[in-house]
Amino acid sequence: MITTEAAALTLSIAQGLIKLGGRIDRLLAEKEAVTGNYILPMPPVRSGPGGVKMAEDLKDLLAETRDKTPDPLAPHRWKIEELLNQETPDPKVISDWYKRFLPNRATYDLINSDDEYLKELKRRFPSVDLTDENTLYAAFSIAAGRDEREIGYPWRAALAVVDVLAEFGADNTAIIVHDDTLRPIVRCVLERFSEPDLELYSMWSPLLRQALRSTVNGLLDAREAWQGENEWVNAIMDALVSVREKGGDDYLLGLIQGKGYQLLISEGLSEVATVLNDDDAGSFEKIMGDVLREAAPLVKDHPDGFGPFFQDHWGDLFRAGLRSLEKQGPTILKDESPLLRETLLAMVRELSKSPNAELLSRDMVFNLTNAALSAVAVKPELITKDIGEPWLKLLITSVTETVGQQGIRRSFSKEGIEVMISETLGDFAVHSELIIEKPGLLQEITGSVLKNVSGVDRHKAETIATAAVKAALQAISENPALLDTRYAEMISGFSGKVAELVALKTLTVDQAVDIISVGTGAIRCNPILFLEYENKLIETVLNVVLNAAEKDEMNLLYGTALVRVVEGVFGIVARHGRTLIGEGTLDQLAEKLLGILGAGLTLANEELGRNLDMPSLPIVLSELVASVARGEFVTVEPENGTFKKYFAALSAGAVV
Amino acid sequence: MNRLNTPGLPASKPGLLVGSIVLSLWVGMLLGCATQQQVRDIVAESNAALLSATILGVAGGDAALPPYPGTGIDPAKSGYEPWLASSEKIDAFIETYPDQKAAASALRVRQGILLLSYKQYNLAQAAFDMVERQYLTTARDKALYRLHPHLIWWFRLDKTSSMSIAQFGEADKALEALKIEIITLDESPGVRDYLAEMRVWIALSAALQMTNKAKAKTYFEDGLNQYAKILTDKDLEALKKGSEPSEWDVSMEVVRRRVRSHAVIKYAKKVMEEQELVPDFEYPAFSELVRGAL
Repeated sequence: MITTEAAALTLSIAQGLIKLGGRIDRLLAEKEAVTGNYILPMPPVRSGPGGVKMAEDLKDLLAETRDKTPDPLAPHRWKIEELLNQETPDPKVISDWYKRFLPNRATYDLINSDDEYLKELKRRFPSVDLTDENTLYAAFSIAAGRDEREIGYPWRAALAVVDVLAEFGADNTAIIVHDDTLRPIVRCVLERFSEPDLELYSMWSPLLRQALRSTVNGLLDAREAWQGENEWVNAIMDALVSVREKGGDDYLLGLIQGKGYQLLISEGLSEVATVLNDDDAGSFEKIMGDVLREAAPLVKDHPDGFGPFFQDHWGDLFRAGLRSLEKQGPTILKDESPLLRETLLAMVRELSKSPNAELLSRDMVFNLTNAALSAVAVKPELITKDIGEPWLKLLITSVTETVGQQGIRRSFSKEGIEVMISETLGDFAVHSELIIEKPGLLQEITGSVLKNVSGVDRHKAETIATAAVKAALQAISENPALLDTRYAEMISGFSGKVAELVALKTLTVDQAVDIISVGTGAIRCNPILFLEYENKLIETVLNVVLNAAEKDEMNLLYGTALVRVVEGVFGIVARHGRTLIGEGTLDQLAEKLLGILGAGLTLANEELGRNLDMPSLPIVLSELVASVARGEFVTVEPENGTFKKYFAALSAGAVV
Repeated sequence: MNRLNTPGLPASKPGLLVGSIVLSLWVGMLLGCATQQQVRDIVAESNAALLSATILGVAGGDAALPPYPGTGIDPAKSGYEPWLASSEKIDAFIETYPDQKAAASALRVRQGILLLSYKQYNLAQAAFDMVERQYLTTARDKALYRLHPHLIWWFRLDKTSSMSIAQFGEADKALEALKIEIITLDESPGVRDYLAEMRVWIALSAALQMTNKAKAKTYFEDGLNQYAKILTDKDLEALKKGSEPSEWDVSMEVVRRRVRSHAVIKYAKKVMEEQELVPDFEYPAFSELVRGAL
């Protein structure tokens, strides 16, 4: 007794075999035609007199018959003479005259190289029967040679089998796969896989694409079977399905192959989606579908630039979208033209126009989008539907141009730039007012800092630049009024100076980072004074401390002590700078400060171990400078008794 | 695609079911060989016709075809053409299977060579015209297709006389095209050797027929220097020693190359002597062979 299922299966096998037979037959027929050997005959050539010889013989004939009567060459003599006077007489015409007037010598034999070959074979292989057709065939047949296709016939035959098996499997999934969840997935994948005739592929690349496409499409087709309770995962998958219908398989495949997709699923959802309300997933899906569909023609139009970039980074855009949702709440999903949708669309449009977009890393794209969304959340009017956004363009350009600047790319590592820009963009996202006020600030600060510190080696420069940019952004975010000044320029100049000192080994990198921090802090305390002198005041003060440290025979100012003295003196100058400078010049200020610090260090050498220890020294020296600024004493000499007493009192009071 | 849901056959008739499966398998096996067999027949028949043309020395020029050995058939009177059946089968196959592009293009090249070998030059040209070049995949077929204008010219050329100045122009083009093609064929020695030999015959013919000695020398040197490039050091050593094939231990392709080079070398010596040329060879070992004519 045969059951209905068994009968259906058996018939299905039979049908598959018939189909396989047909396809293999077609393939083998092609193989016969393409790779079958040929017999290629070789045309004969003539032997006999050569062209030069014939011309000479004709010349001789002309000479010999010149005086003969009647002239045997008449009436052609003059034509032959004219022909022979040419540099290269036409060989055909010479041959024709030769045959006519010297027929006994004009013996033209044909040499057939195939005949000669057979004769030589007979001589060399006397035992071989050269009347046998198969032997002759072997002797003359010429192989097809190299086939430029990557996939040979054995592989293509195997693929035909795979194809038919896939189709068979798709039809009989219920028998092969018993798991109810897995079955529809397997069937969909197999159905997709069996759609094209795989054996027609002659190169691996399109075949592998097809395999991947089939798997992806099969999985998407069967998503009801494997989609879980997570509405956000479902939303992303459903958005992708809607995109496939509009953008086509290649577009969908590109999106899923892109690295950003993996992050979106693995990190984006696991980190963020759990805290989001499932009710918003539908709105997110719609926005995602809209943005991806809108991007499809841009991707298609730029197969070498924006296309690959978008495939790699669309996941980062939506990761940032999810992060923004977490921060800003679902308001950016609502309304007819949700802010999330409009901002992402504007980002996509601007990025597609940016020539250096491909230089952006995943973190950069994520942070850039996050920063833009933060700004829009604070000030929704920044986004206006269907209108180019100048601020967004400026924001994106400030990043892409900074990253793309040749000098910077030569002087810094790719990873170093990525970390710095990403961190800066992260700061922007926190202080979104900076973007609103000055979207090009990143380039203004980062670009110039990177340029200024590029004189030291790559690793040190990256550390110094990061410190400078962070310090500058912090200062500006605390005091947005600095945006309207040359503060950023000043910080970058100062960081350049510090980098020079690192290059000269006057400062270590750690000292440099700390000095940039205390320097920017001092400037923040009195920007008017420092900006008035541009970089000169702060550099003068720094040089004074370094000179004092260098002149000190006991070398008391090193490591953090040096930084703390710099910090102290910067602070005093911020507070008492105008008094210290008075009507004088910066050189005079330098002389004055150097005198105070020199005298202080001389006394410190005597006081150490009495009332003074090393941790207290920076405080004492700073206070000494402050006392002079306050006019508490005038004579600054180590031998002066009043000064000595004052220093001793300071030392005694300066307990850390 | 939904055959799984097809209602089952009545369970009470298992014999009918088994019979239908066996029948379908048998039909499948029969159908599964049909196309391949057709092409196999075409290849075998066309090769047989090409072999006849080769053995009989049919190819080349406009002279009448000789009688077919053993048959007493005079092609000029009987209308019997061994190429005709194969050529018609190729046409029929391509018409029946229009989607078999790769097979069709390869068969068109084969048809072109077959027609060329039997002096059907216009038909050969038409066959090559019908090749869809993007479907050619093997080095041999691609080379033959690319060179087909020069092959037709050389096969068609009357070898019983000398070339005209205009034909020398065609020879120059053919020599250049062959030279370029041969360079690309190192991985396909069979067709490379065939084309290299054809090139040297063209060059030596030009050297023999040329009426200007300097130009004859140029053809001679270029032809032989290029030809010598396909001969390996072992080939040259074997040719120089005149060693027996039993010592060669090589493939049929190498045997063919070495044995066929004898005719080339002997003919080269004749040309050199006839035209009184003092050539400069690039390869001294090959030069010795030509001067000594083995």
